[in-house]
Amino acid sequence: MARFLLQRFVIMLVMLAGLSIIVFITIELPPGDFADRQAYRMKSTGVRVTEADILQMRHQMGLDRPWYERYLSWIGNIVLRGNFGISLSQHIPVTEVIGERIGFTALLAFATLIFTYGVAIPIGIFSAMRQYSFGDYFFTFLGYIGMAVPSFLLALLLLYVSVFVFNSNVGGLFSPQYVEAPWSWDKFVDLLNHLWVPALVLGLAGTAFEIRTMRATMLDEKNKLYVTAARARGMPEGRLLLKYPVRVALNPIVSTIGWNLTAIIAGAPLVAFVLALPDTGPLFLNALLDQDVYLSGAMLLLYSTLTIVGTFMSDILLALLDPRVRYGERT
Amino acid sequence: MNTNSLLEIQDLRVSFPLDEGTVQAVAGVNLAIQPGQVLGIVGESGCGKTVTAQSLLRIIPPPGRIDGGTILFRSSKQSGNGKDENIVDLAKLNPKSEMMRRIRGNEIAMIFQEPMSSFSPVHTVGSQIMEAILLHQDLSKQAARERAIEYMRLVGVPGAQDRMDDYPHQFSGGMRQRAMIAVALSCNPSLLVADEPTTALDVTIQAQILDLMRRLQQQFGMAVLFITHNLGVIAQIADHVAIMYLGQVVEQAPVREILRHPKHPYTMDLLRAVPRLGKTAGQRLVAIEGSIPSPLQRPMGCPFHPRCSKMIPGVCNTHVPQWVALNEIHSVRCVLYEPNAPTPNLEPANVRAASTLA
Amino acid sequence: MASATGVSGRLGWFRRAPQDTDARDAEIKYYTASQFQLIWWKFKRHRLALIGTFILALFLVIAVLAEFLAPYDPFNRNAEYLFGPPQAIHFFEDGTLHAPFVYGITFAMDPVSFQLSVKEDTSVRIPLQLFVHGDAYKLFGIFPTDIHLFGVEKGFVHLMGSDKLGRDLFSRILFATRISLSIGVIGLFIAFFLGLIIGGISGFFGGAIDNVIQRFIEFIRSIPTLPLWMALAASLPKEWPPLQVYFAITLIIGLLGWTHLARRVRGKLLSLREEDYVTAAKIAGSSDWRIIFRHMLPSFLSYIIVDLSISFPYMILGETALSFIGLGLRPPVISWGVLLQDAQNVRAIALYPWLFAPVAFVVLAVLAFSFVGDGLRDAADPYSR
Repeated sequence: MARFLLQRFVIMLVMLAGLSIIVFITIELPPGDFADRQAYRMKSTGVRVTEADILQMRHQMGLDRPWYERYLSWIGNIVLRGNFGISLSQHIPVTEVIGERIGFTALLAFATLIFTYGVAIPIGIFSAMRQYSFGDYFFTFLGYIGMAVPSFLLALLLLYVSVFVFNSNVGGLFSPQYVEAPWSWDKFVDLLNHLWVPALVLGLAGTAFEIRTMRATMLDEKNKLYVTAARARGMPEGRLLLKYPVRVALNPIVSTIGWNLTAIIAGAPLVAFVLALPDTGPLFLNALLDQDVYLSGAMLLLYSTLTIVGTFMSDILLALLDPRVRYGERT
Repeated sequence: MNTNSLLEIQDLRVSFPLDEGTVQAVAGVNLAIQPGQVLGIVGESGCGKTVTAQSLLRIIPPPGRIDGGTILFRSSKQSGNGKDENIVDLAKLNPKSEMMRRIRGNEIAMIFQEPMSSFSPVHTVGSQIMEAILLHQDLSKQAARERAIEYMRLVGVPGAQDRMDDYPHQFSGGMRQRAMIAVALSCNPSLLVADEPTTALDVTIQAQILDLMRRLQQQFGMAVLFITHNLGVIAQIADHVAIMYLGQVVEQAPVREILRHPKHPYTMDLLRAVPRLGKTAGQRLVAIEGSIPSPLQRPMGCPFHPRCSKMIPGVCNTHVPQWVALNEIHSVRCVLYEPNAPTPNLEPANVRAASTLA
Repeated sequence: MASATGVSGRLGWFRRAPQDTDARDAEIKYYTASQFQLIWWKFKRHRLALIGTFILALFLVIAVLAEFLAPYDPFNRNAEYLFGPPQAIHFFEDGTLHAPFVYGITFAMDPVSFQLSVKEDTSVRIPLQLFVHGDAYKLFGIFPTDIHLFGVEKGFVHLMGSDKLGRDLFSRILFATRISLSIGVIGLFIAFFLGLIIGGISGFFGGAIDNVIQRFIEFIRSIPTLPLWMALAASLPKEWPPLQVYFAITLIIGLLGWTHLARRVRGKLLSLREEDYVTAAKIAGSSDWRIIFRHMLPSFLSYIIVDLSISFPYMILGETALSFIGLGLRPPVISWGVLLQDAQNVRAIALYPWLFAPVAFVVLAVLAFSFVGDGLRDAADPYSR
């Protein structure tokens, strides 16, 4: 177990390192560098900037050093001092811009995961037990729709329905009276009341996928010999299903938490943008549109870190659930 | 039901309705087992021996269903209407009923062919042994655990105490089959169904497991229904043998009697196909001609006639042979032994049909 | 008892006899059929997949004949009808059947809010006509003509309404279909190429190369791709012309889909390497490339086609997402995502719900591809029954 965890942990660190390089590339990719942009901004406010000034600025900021030195100083600042640089569009440190918004993003991702598994596992079991029943077909059909409609379009549809049919707006995370209010129990309840909408929107595709996985594995497992053996031992049907096929079918489900989280995080910015959530989503999109590379880079790094750490945790969970993984016999 | 029998199967028929047609897996099986007797069932794969065994516990995989016949079982632990003994027709029981569940594992236990997959991979072996004990006996968890360890020792798992909390993948194939036997014996069943328990094992391990089973059978005195395709194994362990072909028992007798005086042509062919010490080097083993027909296309008349060397055209391909008792211990299902066998019906159609099928 | 079984058994045999010859014929047909035939037979049994195929064929026709099918040029502005709602096609007037027609439009000013509202003018009946003359275009980019499948001679017809500049939404959606599908196809081609090459190298050579490539693929799969692609798309220079952006976006979309395919190719190659016929080819002195393309590729081509059809929806959705938020294609290029930019906020949805129409096309395309992909997956291994 310890060896398994250590191995996973090392892999996680290597991935984080690789990731930081990719993020750095996206920061460096747009034509021109920070000095050019600074100069452009100064020019637009009427300040005269010469080529020499730009060179001077570039030297001061260390932009004329080779790329690996720049990378090291960038990542060093982040890891050692938590300094993600300055937002180009808002002229304040990136950490201040992101602030508590990243917390909402993490909360949303977590709520979506809970929703996904809370809904998918029971439905998957039901579908497998009542294969080819009306309910099974119904959920299969719903699953097709869930996988076909991308989350941001679903968010739009939901907005449309809520505005036209229910005459209310499902956007945002808080009712107006709580937006500026300090944290309290009521505010938290209000948050939960709003959170289910984006969680539903973000989680639908994953839920559909997990229902299919759960159903398929259950159908596979319930005819396996060890189930028959337990039946031949005199185990009552209900307990038999819960103790064996359901328990075994949980493993592939748990092993997909990592991917699922990745998909949720990937869809989150667009959904947050459409539903006008006060999390990092709209911020990220605006940063991209403004080519505010330090802000968007920081966010990209945070998003990816969230998924990689999440995958690490799902690996631990899987090891706890499945002795074959725990004892290093990955099959 | 005979006053001595533990189990009597009469004209059992089991079929599997599939998209391609209905497969008659068991087509009228008659069998009887006395208490403490070891009855071997021998036949090629697909002859219905496993399905027969599954019918006893009513664990036939879907879409299989019992179409008819009776499976009378003398239950000693069900105290229905105040008597100690009680005869139950397993074929009529609801597979999900309380009664069926109390018989499973408790009075009739089963060992399966694949020790590799007959344990859940995510539960400890110990917990799966304890499960059977806890289901049928009024014991505390601690007592059940001790009972389980005791049985693990009994079946020869070394270090039983420590191995209780190991997972199946940490057991070797032979050890798993031993553990499976421990599960089966843990409630003192009066009948043990062993479905090819040694087929998936190495030859040396096979011998050990057979040895163990014979020893435990003598110790516990339960009856055993031992299913195999290997006549050599049967000779080692069984008292009686039933030979099955295409869902029917074609011959039944004590082991020695069958080995020495086989009556049915199929049994004779089977025996000729077994390698034996003492045969001269030049002698070849004889394979049975042809192969088992498609289960969807059962031959008319005697199901063995297309492959039979003694086939009588016009009789074997039209007439279904009767179950004939040659003496008190030996019965056979073949027209050669029928006292009033029909005369050949040599209409050209029958002869032609026979020759094309042969 | 036994004789009773015998009789029924015999009767059963007798009754079944004619069916058995049928079954045998079917069996002969089955074993002599080509692989393509087998796949088709199995595919046909999947009804949703057939419906999906039909829808895709329809989309293909639209993509090829957009100029002819659309009543208007996608940039033609109807200044009289800005943000105009869809016009309904009528068949009846006063209970009598007519050729399909639309009503003319009148405008009414709300005296209180000064809001302009649109009303059908039931006194003006504009018949829809087939093969009418309209905006000039070149069919297939070659033949100059001005014939459209349908249209009206006077007045106007906007089946799905018009946008803020008075452009016909129906025509624009048809043109967008062409762009969106083409992005999917080209992206798929790129993914196919990358997946085949990288997966092929990984699976054929195995060992350390395989290990490195597999770790790399795992790495790519563990990062949230959409934000990454969004970041890449955002770094495209703003001054690039639309066509250049189109190709860059297609490339980025194509980079989305190759990992899955590479894994499949590798897995298949690894298992095929052990096959006897590959060994035989090796012994016979075939070159590596010949073995891959002549002997191995045909045996897993069907799986690759299945995987491609399954990843197509992701390509379309990726493009739609990027364009929707303004990081993808830019006007004047029209794609479903670009059209949906107009429906980004609640206000637009509340006031002009018809701007939402492209969503239906996106969902339809994705569903159709999912159905076809599922059907192909079930049929891909024709010998598994």
